[in-house]
Amino acid sequence: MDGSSSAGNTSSASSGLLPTHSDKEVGQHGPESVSLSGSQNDQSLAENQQFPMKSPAGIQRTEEEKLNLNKNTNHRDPLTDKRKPSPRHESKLDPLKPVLLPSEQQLGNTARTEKQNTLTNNLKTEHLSSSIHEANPDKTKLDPLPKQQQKAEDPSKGSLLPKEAHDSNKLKPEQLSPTKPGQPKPDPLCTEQKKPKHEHHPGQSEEHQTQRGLCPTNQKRDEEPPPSMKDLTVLGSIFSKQNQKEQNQLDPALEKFTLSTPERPQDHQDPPHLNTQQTPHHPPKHQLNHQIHPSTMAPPAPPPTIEVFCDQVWPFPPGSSGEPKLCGFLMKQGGPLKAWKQRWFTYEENKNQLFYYRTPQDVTPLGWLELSGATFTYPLRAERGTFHIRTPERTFILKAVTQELMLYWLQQLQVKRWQHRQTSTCPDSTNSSSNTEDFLPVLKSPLGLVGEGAASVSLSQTLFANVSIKHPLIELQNSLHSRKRPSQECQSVFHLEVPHGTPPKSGQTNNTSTLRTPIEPPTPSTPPPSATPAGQVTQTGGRESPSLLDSWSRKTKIRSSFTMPVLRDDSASCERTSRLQQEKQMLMEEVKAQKELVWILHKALEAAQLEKRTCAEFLAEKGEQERLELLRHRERQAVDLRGRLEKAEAEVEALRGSVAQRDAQLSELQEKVTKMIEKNNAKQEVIIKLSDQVSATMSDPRQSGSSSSSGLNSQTFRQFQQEIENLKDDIEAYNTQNKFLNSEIHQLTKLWRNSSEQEKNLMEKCAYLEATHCQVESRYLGVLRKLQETKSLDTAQRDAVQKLIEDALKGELKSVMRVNTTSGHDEYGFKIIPDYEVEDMKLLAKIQALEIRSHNLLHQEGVERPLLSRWAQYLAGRSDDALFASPELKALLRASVPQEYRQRVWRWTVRARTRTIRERHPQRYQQLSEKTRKSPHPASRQIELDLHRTLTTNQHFSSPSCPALQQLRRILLAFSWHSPGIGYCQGLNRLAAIALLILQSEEDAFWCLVAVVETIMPQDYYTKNLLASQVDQRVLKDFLAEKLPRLAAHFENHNIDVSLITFNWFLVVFVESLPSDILLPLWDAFLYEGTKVMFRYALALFKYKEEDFLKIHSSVEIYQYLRFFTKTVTDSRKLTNIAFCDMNPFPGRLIKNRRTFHLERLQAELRELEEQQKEFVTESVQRKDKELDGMVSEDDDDL
Amino acid sequence: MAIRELKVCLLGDTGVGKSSIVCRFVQDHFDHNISPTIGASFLTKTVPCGNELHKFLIWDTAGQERFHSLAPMYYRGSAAAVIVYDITKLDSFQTLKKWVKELKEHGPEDIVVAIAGNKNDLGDIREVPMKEAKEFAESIAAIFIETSARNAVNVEELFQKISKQIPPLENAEVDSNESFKLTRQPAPSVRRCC
Ligand SMILES: Nc1nc2c(ncn2[C@@H]2O[C@H](COP(=O)(O)OP(=O)(O)O)[C@@H](O)[C@H]2O)c(=O)[nH]1
Ligand SMILES: [Mg+2]
Repeated sequence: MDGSSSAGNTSSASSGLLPTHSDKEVGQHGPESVSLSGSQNDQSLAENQQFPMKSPAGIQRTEEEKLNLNKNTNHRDPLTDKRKPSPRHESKLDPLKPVLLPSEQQLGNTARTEKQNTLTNNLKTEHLSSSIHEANPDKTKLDPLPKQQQKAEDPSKGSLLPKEAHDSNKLKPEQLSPTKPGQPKPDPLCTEQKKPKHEHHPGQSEEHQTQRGLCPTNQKRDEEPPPSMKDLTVLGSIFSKQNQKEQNQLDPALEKFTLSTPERPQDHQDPPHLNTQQTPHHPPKHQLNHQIHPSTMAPPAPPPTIEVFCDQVWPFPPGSSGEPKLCGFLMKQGGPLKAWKQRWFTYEENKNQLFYYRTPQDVTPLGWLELSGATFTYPLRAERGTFHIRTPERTFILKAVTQELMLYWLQQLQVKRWQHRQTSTCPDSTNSSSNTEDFLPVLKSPLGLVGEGAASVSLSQTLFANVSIKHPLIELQNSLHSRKRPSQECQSVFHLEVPHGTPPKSGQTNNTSTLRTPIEPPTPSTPPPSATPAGQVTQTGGRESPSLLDSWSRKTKIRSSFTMPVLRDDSASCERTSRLQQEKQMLMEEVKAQKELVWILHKALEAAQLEKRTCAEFLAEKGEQERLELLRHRERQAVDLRGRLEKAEAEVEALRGSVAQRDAQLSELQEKVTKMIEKNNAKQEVIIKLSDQVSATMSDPRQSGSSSSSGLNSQTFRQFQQEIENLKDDIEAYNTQNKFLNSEIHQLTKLWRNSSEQEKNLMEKCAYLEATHCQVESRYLGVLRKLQETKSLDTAQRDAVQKLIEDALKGELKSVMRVNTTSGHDEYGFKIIPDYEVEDMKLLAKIQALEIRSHNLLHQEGVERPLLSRWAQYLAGRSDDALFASPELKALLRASVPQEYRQRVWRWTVRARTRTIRERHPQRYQQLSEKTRKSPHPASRQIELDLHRTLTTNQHFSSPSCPALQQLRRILLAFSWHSPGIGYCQGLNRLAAIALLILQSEEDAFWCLVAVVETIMPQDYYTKNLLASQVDQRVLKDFLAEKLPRLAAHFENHNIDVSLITFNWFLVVFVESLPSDILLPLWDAFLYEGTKVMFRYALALFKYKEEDFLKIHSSVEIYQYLRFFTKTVTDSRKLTNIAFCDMNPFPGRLIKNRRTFHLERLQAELRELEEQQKEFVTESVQRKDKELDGMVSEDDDDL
Repeated sequence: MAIRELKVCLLGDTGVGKSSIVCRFVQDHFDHNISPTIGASFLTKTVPCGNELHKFLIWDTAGQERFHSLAPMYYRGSAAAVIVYDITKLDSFQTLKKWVKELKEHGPEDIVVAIAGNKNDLGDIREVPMKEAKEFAESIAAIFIETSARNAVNVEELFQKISKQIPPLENAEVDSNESFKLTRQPAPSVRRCC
């Protein structure tokens, strides 16, 4: 593609643009302005579309131009002005340009157009193409001139007019013109290069020029016919604007130009040219011409200039500079009727949206598609050109005119989507658009159908045919807008309307008129009659607003009137030549006849002379005798001659006979030959058929059998072939679609990867920020809490603090839960902020929640991810049954199981622990369930009582209708039957509930309960008197004294019996004592390792808060703190670390020994107690008796 | 004002509303699905009484029978015990009698006993006549009151009555005579356990 800088591009651009320069002699041909007129329309349309209100600068400019024109009386200027910038801009801005090379377009277009426009005959096309080509030279000729003028003017005028204004007026027409397929743009470079050549090689052949026009890629610089002085000046003027000033000064051409201006005035007077601009009529046909179809020509108008224009006029993002604007007409299926409506689609870079309007001129879009989230596809089984854009909200069904156009759109949309992504998110990442084989090659934009230029290529619909029913309001707005548009602008749009010859009223009109004038050829050559291409008319007609249509019709009218004389001219000359030729023919024949006559006369003369000689001889004889002799001799001679003559005649006769014979023979032979040929042909046909069959049978082995009897099968055979052809077509289509979809998938994957990476980064960032935020907030709340407790505050301050606390608590839910869950529950349904019964604890609760959150967030990266991958590695490829006890697993479990694996790991542990029982009673749970249905267990009353009060803070158990509660009931009832010794003990409901939450299966949860109660916990943990539980409390106290002697002493000093609190922990394995993010890791290890984990954690909890305890010196406060301190543990990692590292060594044997020791003592105590009770009972009975006795005695006393 | 810490324990059958009463008293809050007490729970509340402040250290115990063996840990050293029954459950009244007995046998000698007939908002399904309960309470010289944790009826009064029953520090000995006396004090040596 061309470089981005104009300077650098000129050379490269020249190749693409060169053809445009194939200039012909000035004014040789009639109006070449087909493209121009179209382009102007386009330009105006584009203007409308882009800026409903015309920029004042533009208006100003036009005014100025007018003035200039008047001064200079050079009407060409405007045109040149317009044209000049275009080439440069194109080269600079349009990277796609090479893509647009006319030759390619032509080829592609011709193919298409031939199919499409069967109506236009070759002649027409030829004419058109030729005319177009010829038009180019004119333009080029014109261009230079204006340019120079511009140059000269600009500096002098003080450049009041913004560049854009120029461009808007001048640049667009070319690029927009739909009718200009091969229209070459004047390339500054080319012109420059050509310039010297012009001078040297004047009067180059037209053919060359036309060729250039047709094949722009072909650089033929030498053949430029030097048009005129003006041309030269023009050429000189094509330098870049920066250089213009100096150029002007240096350029001698400028002077020439000024000098030459007077020559031109007559151009103005020729009205037809102005009006006929749209219709090209041009004579000289080139061999290549036939390839170019009018419709195909339309595309060449390169959008780039428009793009340039847009860029200049609008503050477009830099990203857009490189490419042509993506816009064009598409059919959109919509409405309740699913009708196709033509819409003007425009891609908006900044928003990455595709807007669609009813017409290109509309200001308010009917709607838009958000591309960032869109995917593209196209169905095979729909009308050609149909494609879908799927956004999360809906699917847009669109249709392009052709399949190629559709693919172009899709590709462009992909590119845009990607580019937008890149620019908006990570601007530095390079767009590595890898076009692998599997993807479609990058399509070139089908010119004229996409881009601003397409605005004029309406699909011949009536003006209101595509009115949106759904958007009446927008329609109204748009129409209002169009009506509101300043008249001046309207004029600019429809400048062609201005009747030629009338004095220009506005600069605009003046410009246009002047523009057109040069187009007129001063002397009409003898071109064949030209016809306006039907396609062109339709193209321009449909979209134009009524006024435009008016102008159009007027134009055409005028044109026709104008073209007539030319036509006459042409035909006359033709006739003349033919007449002359005829004459010549006749004369030749005459000459021939004359020659023959001369020859005959010669012969006669010879005979006469001979006679005369004999006569003279005869007269010269002296005597009669001699004369007689002579006579006789002559007679003899005569007889002899006669005889000879007869002989000769006979001979002739014979020869004639033989000739006839030969003729007969010849005809016979010829007949034979023809017969032979026929035969041969027949044989060849047979051979072809056979070979076809052979190939068919080769390709289709099944047919081999039947192919031998080909006569019958030939019909089916042909059908098959047809089918095969169809299938091949299908395959082709599928291939294309596949390629496209491949690229789509690839793109989407890239996009996805991109965004997921970004998401990850953002999440990390967010987590970090949130963590710090949480820390800050918790610190703030901590300060508030301290302040609250401070006694030194006066009442005002106290109130203020209170208020701050209230505010902080109000924002509670929002701040802590927003990221995690909206419900305020974690993944297992536990509340993130625990409910604390006491009001003043709420602040603390929030502080803790914040701290837990910040810890979790900070650990996410460093700890949880690696852990997750470790687990993933460990579990990869292992079936649940294949898990086996190992130190590795133990370590992993101590580090806690990631949520996604917890269920699986717990299930495995539970199954491993209950294997023997389950093997003995395979259907245990089902049987127990059955039993519970039949006979209610005595414990069921207590179970019912506790059921609805289980884990009430958890989502899954919060409401009585929760299905989990039914499961829980069945589990507990089954367990009470399963273990009659225990039946139901308050607390088992919590164990079962946790099991149910994690395992998500009733039966698994039941077995988990069994595992905990029967295999993990010591015997009698839940039975009457909870003996083993009480033993464990004593064991714990021993360990506390051992591992945390300071704290144990502290408790001792304050008469604290920790078992009042810790009993609870052990009985329900910390359920509802610890927040879930500590509880579940504890359970992970507990299920695997057993009760030792409880001791470890219990001690770790005390260790964790040891200092806090040591600071408290009131037994009540210590108890109070004991009650909730477990929930204030925020750093679960630290706790785990203490539990499994700091508490070492922790031999299991020790626990066992202590248990047996304490069990024995406790049992002894209980026995003693029982005895005492018995004793007491008997005693009390006795005493009662005594009392009674006493009373009686008292009574007796009274008595 | 001097703050006096008074250890109070709540005893009674499971589900009679011990925890609810404590919750109502301490937080003035009632929750239908209050979590069953396991082991025991501990709450405090300070109320003024005369020229003293009484800080109640309330030990709410688990009601299930098998937890009875833990009860001594909680009522040991208690200044008062609130034995709660559910007026809609005759069973709970029987259990109450058991608790009275146990306190007689093992509780502190001067412990103030209060009998609370809870859920008196459910009077229409009452199973324990107030008269019977009242007579029983009088028979053991215990405080009697019918409460409703749900409707916040008599909960404050319950603890106020207890406050009043607590003998002033100076003449604890004198006052203790007036209150219900345990006929027999359990041997402290036996209770080394918890
Ligand atoms: N209607 C009513 N229900 C109560 C009252 N007090 C407690 N409850 C309910 O009785 C059930 C058991 O209460 P709870 O305080 O746990 O009894 P605890 O086992 O003695 O602690 C709960 O569902 C309470 O909602 C009350 O005054 N009226
Ligand atoms: Mg309770």
